[in-house]
Amino acid sequence: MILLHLKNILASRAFLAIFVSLLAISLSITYVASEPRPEMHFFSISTLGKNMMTENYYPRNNATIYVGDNLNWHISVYNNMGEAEYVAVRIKLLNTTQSIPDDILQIPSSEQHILEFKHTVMNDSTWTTPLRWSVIDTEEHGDYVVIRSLEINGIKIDNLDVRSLDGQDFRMVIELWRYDPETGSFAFAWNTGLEDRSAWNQIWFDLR
Amino acid sequence: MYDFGLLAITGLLFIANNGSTDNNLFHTSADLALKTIHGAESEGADVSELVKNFNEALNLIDQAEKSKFDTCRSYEDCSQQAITILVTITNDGHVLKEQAKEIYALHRFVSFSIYAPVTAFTTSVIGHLFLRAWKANQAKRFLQMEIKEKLK
Repeated sequence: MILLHLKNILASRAFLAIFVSLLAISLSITYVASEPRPEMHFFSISTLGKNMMTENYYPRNNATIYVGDNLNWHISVYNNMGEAEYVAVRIKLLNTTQSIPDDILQIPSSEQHILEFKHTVMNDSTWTTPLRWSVIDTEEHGDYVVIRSLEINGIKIDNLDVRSLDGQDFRMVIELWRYDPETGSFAFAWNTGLEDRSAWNQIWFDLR
Repeated sequence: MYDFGLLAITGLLFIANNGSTDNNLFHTSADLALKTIHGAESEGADVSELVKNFNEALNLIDQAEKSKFDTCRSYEDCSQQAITILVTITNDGHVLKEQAKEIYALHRFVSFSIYAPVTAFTTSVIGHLFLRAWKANQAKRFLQMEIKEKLK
């Protein structure tokens, strides 16, 4: 009885019309769902304070630090480039007159980095690494304070020569570089599909 | 099938430089490993394990460069361990890529030739039954209609 009923249904023109239409629709939906969707590709980098928040960067409630102070920061890199990315985070210590990265021309600071962290970040994921640092040696040249030595994550970095008037307005610049497999080297800027972009942060401090 | 040329080059590089501390070998191996990871990822493979191993290799090279040895003993030891990991990533990546390709092809086949037609068929039968029921109901209502005179 049921089979006969089903046979009647299958033989009807109305059923055939509905089936053909729905088959076309479901095939279209399957095709669209299986194709990758165009996405905006980007990286982001943030420097976080002691409690992984955008606060508590300094030991006291102001941007003044002293030789030997321990600063506990975290660098967080988010990858939304559509694939795993091999990145380098480059730390640069600058004063107020040294060049910083250019957001318009997408070029990095011309200064040499003092430390570099390399890591591969999965797509749509965040990598966070600690940045524990302190100034361990300075010199005074007249009115200028010269930073000679830093310690970052237990690594001593000597032979620095970054000077600033009265120890004011030093800055830690953190640049994100992406490994370009085409050129086999790290590049500061990348193409999002629409334009060139780069990512960097800077945090100012005064030294006493 | 597999990119045997690439694997052969990696293997030869590894054998030829075994014991040396050549930095270029690390870069070449890292480059190949990264390209393999990207290739496997583009086919939809889960590359999390490969990425984890890649980072382990980076960590070994970092130890070698900074002479801070935690998980390896010397510059040579760190470099060799890192390169071994990178070669393994390259090999595993190719296998993962092929597996992902096969899974994707199967998934597409099942989606287009089974899921879509079965969904369309089931929906059509249900829709048709509803249509019939609605039509029967309409006919029944029509047949049960009574003509009534409207009183003024």
